Amino acid sequence: MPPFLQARNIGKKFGPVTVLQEVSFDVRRGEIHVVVGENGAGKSTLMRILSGVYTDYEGTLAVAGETVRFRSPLDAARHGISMVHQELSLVPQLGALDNIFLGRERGVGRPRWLNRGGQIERAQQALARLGLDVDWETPVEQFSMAVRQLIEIAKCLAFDAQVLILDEPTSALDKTEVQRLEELLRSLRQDGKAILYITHKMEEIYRLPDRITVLRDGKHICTEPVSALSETQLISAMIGREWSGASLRQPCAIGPTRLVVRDVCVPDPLGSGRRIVDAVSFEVRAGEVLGIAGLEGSGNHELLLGLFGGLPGVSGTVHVDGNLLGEFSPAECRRAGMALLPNDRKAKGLVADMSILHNMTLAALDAMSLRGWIRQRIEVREGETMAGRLALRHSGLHSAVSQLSGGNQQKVVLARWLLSRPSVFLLDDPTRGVDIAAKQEIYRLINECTAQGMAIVMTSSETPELRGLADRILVLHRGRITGCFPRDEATQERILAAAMGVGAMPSMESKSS
Amino acid sequence: MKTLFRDITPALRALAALALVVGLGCVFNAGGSFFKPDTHTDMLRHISRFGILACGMTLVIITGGIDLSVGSVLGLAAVCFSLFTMHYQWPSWLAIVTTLGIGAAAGSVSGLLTARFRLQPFIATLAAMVFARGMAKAVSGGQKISTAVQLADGRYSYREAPPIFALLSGRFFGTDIFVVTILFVLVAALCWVALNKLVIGRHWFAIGGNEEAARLSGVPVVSRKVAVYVISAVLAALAGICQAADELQGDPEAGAGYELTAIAIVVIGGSNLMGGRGGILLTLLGTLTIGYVEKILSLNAVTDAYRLMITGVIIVFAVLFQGGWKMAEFLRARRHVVLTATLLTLGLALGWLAVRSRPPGAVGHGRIYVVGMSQCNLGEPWRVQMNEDIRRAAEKHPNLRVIFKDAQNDALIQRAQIEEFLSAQVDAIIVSPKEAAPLTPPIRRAYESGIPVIVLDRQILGDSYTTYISADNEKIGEAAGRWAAQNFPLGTKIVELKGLMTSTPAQQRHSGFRRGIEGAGFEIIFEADMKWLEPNARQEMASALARFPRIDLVYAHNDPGAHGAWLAARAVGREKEIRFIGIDALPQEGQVYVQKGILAASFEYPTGGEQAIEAVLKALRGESLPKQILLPSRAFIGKK
Repeated sequence: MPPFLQARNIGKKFGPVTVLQEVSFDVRRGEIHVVVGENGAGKSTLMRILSGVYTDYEGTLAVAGETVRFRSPLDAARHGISMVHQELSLVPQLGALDNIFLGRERGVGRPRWLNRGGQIERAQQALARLGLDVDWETPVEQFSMAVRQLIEIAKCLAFDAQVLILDEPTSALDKTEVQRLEELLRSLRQDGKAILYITHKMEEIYRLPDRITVLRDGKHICTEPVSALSETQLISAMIGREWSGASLRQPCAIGPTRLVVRDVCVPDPLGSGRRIVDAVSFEVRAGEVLGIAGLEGSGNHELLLGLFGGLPGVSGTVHVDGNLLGEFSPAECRRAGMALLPNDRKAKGLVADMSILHNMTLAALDAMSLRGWIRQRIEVREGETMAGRLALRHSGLHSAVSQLSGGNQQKVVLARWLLSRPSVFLLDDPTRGVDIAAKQEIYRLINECTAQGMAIVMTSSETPELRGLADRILVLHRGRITGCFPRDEATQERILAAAMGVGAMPSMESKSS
Repeated sequence: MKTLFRDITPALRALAALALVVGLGCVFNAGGSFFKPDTHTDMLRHISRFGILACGMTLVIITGGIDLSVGSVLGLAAVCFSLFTMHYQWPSWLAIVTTLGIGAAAGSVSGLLTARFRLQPFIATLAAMVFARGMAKAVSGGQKISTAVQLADGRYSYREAPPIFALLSGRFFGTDIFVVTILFVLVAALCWVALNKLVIGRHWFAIGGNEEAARLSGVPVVSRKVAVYVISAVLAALAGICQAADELQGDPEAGAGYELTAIAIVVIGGSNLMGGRGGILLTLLGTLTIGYVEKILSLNAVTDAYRLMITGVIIVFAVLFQGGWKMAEFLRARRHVVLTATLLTLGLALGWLAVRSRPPGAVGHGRIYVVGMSQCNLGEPWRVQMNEDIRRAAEKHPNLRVIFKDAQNDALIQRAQIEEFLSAQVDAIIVSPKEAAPLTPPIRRAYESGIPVIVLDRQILGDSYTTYISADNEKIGEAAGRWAAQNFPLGTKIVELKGLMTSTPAQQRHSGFRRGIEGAGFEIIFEADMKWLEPNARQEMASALARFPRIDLVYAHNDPGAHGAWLAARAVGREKEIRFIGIDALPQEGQVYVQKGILAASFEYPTGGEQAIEAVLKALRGESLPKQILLPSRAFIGKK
């Protein structure tokens, strides 16, 4: 059977960064086709191009032999290609019916008036297909994630989707819901639909799909039937050659334990009831860098954010320098000597309207003020010293932070916390969106901090970086620790396997060695 | 101290806007009034209260919030302060501290609702606004707390206000600047220090700029937010104390709508409503800008409706100007720009057409005499009639030019208008005062400077005026009472709907009526203060109808009130079994009601407009006038 959807030489750039390069593959009717790759391999970008979200790309798409260029997701949907995003695109306060027909009300009868009857008829068919029986008008926020996901799929089916693209559909589902979804996908496959599927979970890859496509660094590596690719071969394909090069880390003396984390649990901030971080325990010593590895949805970011009190409902015990942390709140953590570099500096780090200096000193004002009165001379002096130490490129400490490059902005947030002189520094993806030169400077800084006796816990979206910096690497999968490797045992294959849930690894629980 | 504020440009823009307004004032200078120093100190005096509110509002807006409750807290504070000083005779410092403390309590409620319980600031402070207004009315019993103390026989005696009142409402130690202006400058300075020199100010900016980033940096977001709302409310309480001192009373309605002016000041100054950007200097400039706009409109006697429209347009332009639109963006949006400009212009043109006052008489031979007329409000039809009577009487004399100003029922605005007349050296003043106490000083000043002052309808204190023209409300009320006594049997059940009982006419119509029905064996089963307003009368009557199965006669202190009562009765089908009588008998109102059978009788309350013009002419000719002129009155009785 000729492929329904063909992609030829797809390329995409975001500014100077190439995210996809000459990717070609195809999707056949009646198949379940899974796309895998490490963080940043380009999977989501590719799916968004296929579903019409990104309209600016190189290369061609063909549907049923006819070359197309989608102008919008609606356009793609009309050609039969619909995507269910990981974060779902439902309006929480609207009911199932309104959500399904959102933006497409015109297609059902009279243009200006809502055609309720026609809508119900069409939606009824779709929902019956999925075995779903819900009240049309109840706001969808009252339904579970699994039901909401099915409503999204119904949305696609109601408009005759031929290719259904699912981005990490099982990340928010429990075991029974996953089974139900898989049965549904099998039955859709029998109807002749094509399912395109992104996932990180090894067990799913080998249970359901017919073919696998591997992406790495924006390039298409291979497309094979599942039976033709073993696990090890798959992982090798995802990693490519082993990255070799000088270690980024300068060894230094390891001192006493500074951070003890016991049984920390973080509930899902989206309210699904699941635990994003499930009873994680570890310890970090002075001068040590502990890396937390994991793929999207593994809980590594939430672990750091939760420890610092950035997410609600965190439980567990934490000791910093032997003192029990009273509550999980940023103010309390700061007092205890912990610092957090958040992974989204725009949303959680920088105050865009404030100057560089003010952003830098925000966490350390107590030390620079006398009874509430800011000693501005001290503030300026500290700021200048720190800017020098970080090699910050700026046009005046009083100018706006928004004018700095990404790398320099990241340095400002780092400076903020360094000024508070922490004992434990949590770094959540510190080099994300940062240019090469700034990255080197951040590595240098990490080495400086550890040499001064700081304990560092960090995540990174680039496993090679983590391997270069960390003394030990903990791997998380679905909120649990699935691997713990000291530096010399931490090969890329081992880390990726543990991150995908392959449990047959030694030293499952973290030890303080 | 390298820079006073990080970004100079918003301040320059605010300064440019202010300069533009001052320039407009120089052009439309109302016969040179704009250049008199009194005009400026007067403007500062008026706007300083709003400036104090705006300082607190600036702080709140910087944190990304809003405080709608400041007007109500001002009213509550005015009432409490007056109560503490005038009725309970507390020492001034105790009264001030307690009042500020009440403000702090109000602010902490708003703050906790917003910060701890995560209500949207708009909603939390809206609720606080309504609640505080209710509290003000509860504490004051719905009446103004004033130096007027009600004695046993229902008359009022006037005590002396405590010296703190004179201190707060007067000028500063021999200079020309008013104390309230000094307070405003002090408050602004303190707020500036807090924003720029203290840790808490830095935290406020961070919270407004990116609350999540601030929280994750260890900023105690909840306590900082509560603090800012407390400060805003305390400043509102301070403004309330100043207002009470100015008005010589605690008015539970004081401050209504002030929060919008405060917000407008902050916005025009250039602080960003979204939070994170702004400053006290900007607010200072915004205060002066709004102050001058209002003063220029007032000096030029621009009518109220037009004034509101102009202010709205100014706010729009000021904000657009602040937005720093680049030429390219403007051109791209030109379709919408043209559309908006057209709509605004149409609106202004329609308003001008509708509101255009008739030319005050052709330019005659000889000198034109300018008469300033300040009407306490144009909400009551009777007062609209009064202005109409004055206009018609003045038209007959081409050398008389009357400038009408509407005080919008605000005693302080009316005071400013008298000051403006005095400053412009008009030839005569006609005034229908809102309240006796706050208006007596400016009227006395005008009178003592040689300007003849005709006082209409409501009295002022003392005798520093040329003549007081009124109808005799006592006699009219008594006539109504006697008519009722002659036409109704023993045991008649009466509902009395009273006008604003803190004003003399209502008191007199009440006591006159009671005298008229003495001995007739009538029973007053229900009485309520409907404040001269028809909707209020209707509501009160509805309550009466619900409570009493039998009502024979309704006596309302004015025809709108009687009409409102009639509507309430008709809504429950009882209008045929009740008789309604009122006072005013305006040709297009009360007299029509009588003809239609809605009112059994209406007793004329002449406006005195015609007599006022006659008195002005006599005074200008140098003839002497009696101190009080009582107007005659007729009764309009319906067929039965």
